[in-house]
Amino acid sequence: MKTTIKVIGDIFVEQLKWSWWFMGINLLIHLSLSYYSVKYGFGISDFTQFISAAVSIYMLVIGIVAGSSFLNYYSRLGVTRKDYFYGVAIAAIILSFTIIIVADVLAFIEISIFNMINVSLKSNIFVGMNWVKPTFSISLNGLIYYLIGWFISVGYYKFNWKAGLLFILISFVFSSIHGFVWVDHFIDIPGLITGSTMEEIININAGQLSYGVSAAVDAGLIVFLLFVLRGLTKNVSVKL
Amino acid sequence: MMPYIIEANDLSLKYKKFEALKNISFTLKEEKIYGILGRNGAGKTSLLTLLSAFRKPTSGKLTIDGENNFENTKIMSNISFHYEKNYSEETSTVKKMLRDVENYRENYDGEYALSLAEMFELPIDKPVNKLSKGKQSALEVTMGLAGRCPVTIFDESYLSMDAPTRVKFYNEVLEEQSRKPRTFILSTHLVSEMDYLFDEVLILHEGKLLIHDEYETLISKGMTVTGAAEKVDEFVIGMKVLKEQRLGNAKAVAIYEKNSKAIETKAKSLGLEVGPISLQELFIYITEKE
Repeated sequence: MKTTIKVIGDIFVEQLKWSWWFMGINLLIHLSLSYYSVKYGFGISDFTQFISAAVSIYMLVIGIVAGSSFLNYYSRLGVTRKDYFYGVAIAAIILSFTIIIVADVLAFIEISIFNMINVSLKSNIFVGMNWVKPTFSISLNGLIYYLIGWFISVGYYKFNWKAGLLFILISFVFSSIHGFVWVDHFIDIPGLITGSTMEEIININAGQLSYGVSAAVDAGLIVFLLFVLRGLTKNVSVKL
Repeated sequence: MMPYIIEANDLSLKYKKFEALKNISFTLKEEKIYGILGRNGAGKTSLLTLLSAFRKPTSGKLTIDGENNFENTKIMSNISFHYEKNYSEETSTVKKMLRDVENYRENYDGEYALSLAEMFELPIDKPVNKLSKGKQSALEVTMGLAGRCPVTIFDESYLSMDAPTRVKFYNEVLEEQSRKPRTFILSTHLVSEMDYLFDEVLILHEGKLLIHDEYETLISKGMTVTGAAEKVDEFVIGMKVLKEQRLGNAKAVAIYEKNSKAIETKAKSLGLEVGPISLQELFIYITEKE
């Protein structure tokens, strides 16, 4: 247990360091866009909504890194695969929420400053105090992309490049289910097959799904992915 | 520290159809320095990845301190495995790497680590990927020595070091063994410069364990017998001959026999010359022969 907590803490802190860079660069881009939106009269969203699309890609990439590099690193420190798994999984959950909560705080500060200088944004999650739901769903979105990245990298790591390609194909299914249930909910998720394409394929309007159902499907997907990842990494050979 | 007894029983490891280790059995009972010798591809690294639980054996049993080592928190935290790691993407500093060892290895000695870093002239604030290969090896052995795990494994992690640094490392292993005795396992094919370190030697060849013996006993079993070819040929009948060399009428034969004292006396009484064989020669003859 002591080791698991240490691994969670270390992996979280390490990824948080990478995330400051990601957040900082995105904040600079958002501030620049806000300036030009006033100058040229086009509308942009608040920082949380702005960052949500980039978060998917970012989490996918760090999920891929987590799959291979952390396993070797912690094995060399005498950590078991079980502690590595719980370390990566729990650190990913905490990180997904931390990034979006920090984005909310930055968005709130940004909006407060914009209000003072009479700059308005096209959309704003704080209007009507409904920020909790989007914060939760965008965090789930990040977590799912992280787990998909981890899943793909384990495919390559444990097997070979052909299996890795197969794992990418399977990932399309995960991202499509995820994208589908969130269509028309706060965020436009850039799924590999988008939610709206999925709507066309299976001819069901996902907009009919309530927030609770969408969140429950995502939670189910997360549990399933974690279950599969633990199975894949349980006896995995550590590469030198 | 109580010695961690390592017991391998009929251990095999397969990579798809290739058999890297074939039914290996041995026991390492005491806190000694064990040398694992083998030519390239003999199965040294495969065996060490099983000991460090980086891999699971295909068949057979491996216990350390009486327990299965695979996914065993207590055992794995007390085994450290060091090899020539590719650090080209490791951006952490030397200091950060040592701090991580401190966090996960309960016997870690920070002062000792710093003294080793100083001895190996390691710049502790420099990112690891910016260090030369030799310095990266020095960091690897520093982590292994200062981590003070009851089982410390070095798998040729010193190959990139220059000769003077390697000698410093060898001396440090000997001193450390007298200060804090533990089980050191060192694999190598650079036998001649490391033989004086080993208390026991295991020779692997093509996935099989050919020899496991105490260094002194092993060396005493090997000898060269030189003399007139006919006399030598007659003398070595029934003995395990490792190497034969003929120069005109003279012949030198390297033999490997248990009862070496008696053989030596007998050879001398017949007017044959008897000479010692180094571990390096023994290793070459045995692995060539097989």
